[in-house]
Amino acid sequence: MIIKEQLIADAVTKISVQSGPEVRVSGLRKTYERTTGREVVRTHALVDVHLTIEREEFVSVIGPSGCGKTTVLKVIAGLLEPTGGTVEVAGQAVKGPGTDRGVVFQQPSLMPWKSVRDNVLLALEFAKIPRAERSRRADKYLALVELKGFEGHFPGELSGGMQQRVGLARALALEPRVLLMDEPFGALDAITRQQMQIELIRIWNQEKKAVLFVTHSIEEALLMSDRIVVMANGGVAHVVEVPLSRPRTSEALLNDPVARQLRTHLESLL
Amino acid sequence: MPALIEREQLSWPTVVKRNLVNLERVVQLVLLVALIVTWEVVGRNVGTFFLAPPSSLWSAFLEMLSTGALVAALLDSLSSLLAGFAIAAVFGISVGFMMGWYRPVGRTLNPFVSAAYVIPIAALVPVFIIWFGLGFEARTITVVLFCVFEILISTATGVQNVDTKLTEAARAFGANRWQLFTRVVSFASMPYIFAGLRMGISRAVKGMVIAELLFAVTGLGGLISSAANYYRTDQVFVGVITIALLGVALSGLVQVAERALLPWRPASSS
Repeated sequence: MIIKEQLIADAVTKISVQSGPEVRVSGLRKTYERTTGREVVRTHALVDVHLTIEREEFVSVIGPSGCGKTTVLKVIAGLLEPTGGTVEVAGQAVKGPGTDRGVVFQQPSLMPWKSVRDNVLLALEFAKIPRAERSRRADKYLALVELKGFEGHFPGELSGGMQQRVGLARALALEPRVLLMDEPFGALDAITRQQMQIELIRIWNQEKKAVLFVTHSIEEALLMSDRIVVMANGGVAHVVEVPLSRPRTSEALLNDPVARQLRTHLESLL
Repeated sequence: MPALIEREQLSWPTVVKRNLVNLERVVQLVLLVALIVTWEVVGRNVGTFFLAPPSSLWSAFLEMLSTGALVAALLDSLSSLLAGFAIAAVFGISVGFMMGWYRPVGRTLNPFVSAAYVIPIAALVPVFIIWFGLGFEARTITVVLFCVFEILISTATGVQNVDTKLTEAARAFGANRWQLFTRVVSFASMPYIFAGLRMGISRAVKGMVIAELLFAVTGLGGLISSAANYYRTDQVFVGVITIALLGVALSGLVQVAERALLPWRPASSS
């Protein structure tokens, strides 16, 4: 009996080890076409993007605006159809939006007519989660992002940081394999932003997931990521490993010689 | 996060005071008094035959009230007004939704709506008399045609202008087209629909009076035209003021409904 269970356990481990990266993006292309009179203008937003995210890995994508960061994220989310190439999540080809991916948008994108809790419940309803389970998850994840006591508030009554916490809770409540975050703290002030970075690291330590984190801040990328993907002109220009020990704080990173070197290196790449 | 959320129940006298005694109300009152005083002075100088002064209106009002003519006319007007507005609201909102949601339907019907919108409805009155006679139906149809386009165009515009951030968020969580429409777009377009209804109710009052003036000597319009036939300018003004107050009251009712149905809209800050 014990041996059999051990065998099953081994098999399970093997399967999960062999299953490869959580996200595999290969040869991704996205072209927009616009016709004015006789002239056809083609904008190549993405040109042959390759990218992988491993299990429990935090990957940041940085690059100047217009380089295609958000486009990659939206294609992985299934919100945009690529012109060419493939996206796989846990070995499954992405055909459209799905509950294996939780998206946190740059703007909180909450329904203004729904309370905080109802916003999470609505997303879970869209995701076809059974009713009883929705309520359990809403409570769990709103508590995780420390919004207990604000369930009945409307988004318009919350600060930007708190709205973004709701957005995060909504994405986590799907219990997705991958978290896709599109400059989630970009619209926040510096102080709130720092608080949210600390919060996100705390939550990520609790709920280890693969994360794709789009940002234009080198500091933020260094603080959060295992790997940093530098994008330029619609393609991946460089991939930089971040060999810094965790937990990290922004103060410690200022004085850490490796972090300083990495920062200089990233600045030169951008 | 805010340090403290405080909830306080206001006493009724405070609620009344806050809503009735403020600068806006004071200015409104001053303007009203100035208007009445000017009218009185001019009226006394040119004589009641040309311009009945406000002081003479009160006795005319009491006279019309005691004979029951005013109340009967008001009820008569209200029946076709409310029936017409209800039909216009149902038709305008549903066709507006169709035109906004199914873009090809919108593009196809757009020139027809534009054409119908610019036709002066009053010019069609002779045809209506031939088709519908002089009764309730003819007046109701006139009211419908007077206000339906405001409601229809506002609704279509509202549906087309729903924040793409919201629809994208809903799609990301797996909402299908039906859910997108019933759970997101229908709510997000509410402010536009109510703007259309507010414009529509005022236009409906105009349509009602025009129908009464042109078709049949009934309702408030009929009251005004028969008073004019007897050169009773005081009674004409009583009729006109009643119509104006009716417009204010109905438009206020729409706004009350809007506040009740759209509680998420930003509340006033203290």
